[in-house]
Amino acid sequence: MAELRIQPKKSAPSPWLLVALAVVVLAAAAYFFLRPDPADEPAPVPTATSAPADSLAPGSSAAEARATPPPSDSLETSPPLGNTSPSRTQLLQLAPQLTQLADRADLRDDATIREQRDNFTSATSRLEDNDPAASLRPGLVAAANLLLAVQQKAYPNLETEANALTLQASELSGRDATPAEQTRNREYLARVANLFNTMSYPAKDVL
Amino acid sequence: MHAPILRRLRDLPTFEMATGDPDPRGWAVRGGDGQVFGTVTELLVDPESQRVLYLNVELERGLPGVPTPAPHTETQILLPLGAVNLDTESSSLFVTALRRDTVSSYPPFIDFILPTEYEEAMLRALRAQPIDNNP
Repeated sequence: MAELRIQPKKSAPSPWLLVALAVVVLAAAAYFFLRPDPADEPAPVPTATSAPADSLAPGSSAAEARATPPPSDSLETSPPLGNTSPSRTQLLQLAPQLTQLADRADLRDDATIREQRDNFTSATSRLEDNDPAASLRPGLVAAANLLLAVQQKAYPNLETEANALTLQASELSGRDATPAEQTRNREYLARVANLFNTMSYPAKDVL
Repeated sequence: MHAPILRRLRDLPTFEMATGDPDPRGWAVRGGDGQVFGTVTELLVDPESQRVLYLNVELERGLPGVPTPAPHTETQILLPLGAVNLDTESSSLFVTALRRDTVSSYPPFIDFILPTEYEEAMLRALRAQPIDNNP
């Protein structure tokens, strides 16, 4: 004996739900196609760093404030990589440490430091991408400006050094072809590394 | 027990065939000899019990003893669902109590009314016991 049953129709989804879904899909598509080129985005900041071996006691306020290790001595003497310019290599080796300094807890909320950090990462990311039109000078100048901003925020005792570094940066040509240019850039980057090394210590420890 | 209120399924836009149950509309209706004598055109349902009770069947033209219908009309009968067997594979349903040559004795379904006498006449024609439409 046959038996057939009927049932109430399942309610169809609201048309507004479909409209909302379409809007979401369009927004996602627009974001996908209109988002800025990843090459223009700031370079990611490395998060894992090894703590420097120094005399700061673990857990002390000085140890906490020192969020960035000083650059290694080999930075200034590292040989050029392949056919790239040695100054470019040194600057790129210094870049993660400078951005990490700008991201330190006591510095990252300062608008000027944030702006200079963005300028610096923008300039160095072009160098990292081997952009043929990218010049060395914006990165060198941005490094000085970033350290100047950090000095003005937290290291009043380093005003002379920071201003001198900015002045030296303004005199750089940005080229790294001749031995003389390489020497000037190397001296400048050594000065950047020294100032950064000093700033990697808590401000109260810097005389 | 009150009589169910019959409705055409097509008149109930908020209802559909239950999931897993076939929709026999359009299926061939075959007699005890396997010969086709009609087609299911509509289902009469009880919305309260949510069950199909009758099949509205349109008879083929030219069946023996069946008067020729008026122009633009078809001869129709109702079959209690309990009197048929469904064959989903062949999209057919079988009525063993009827054949092409005996369907003329089956009461035609004139209008969308189902008086008690009509139901009794159906059952007599099917030579079956009264069919419980409200199990």
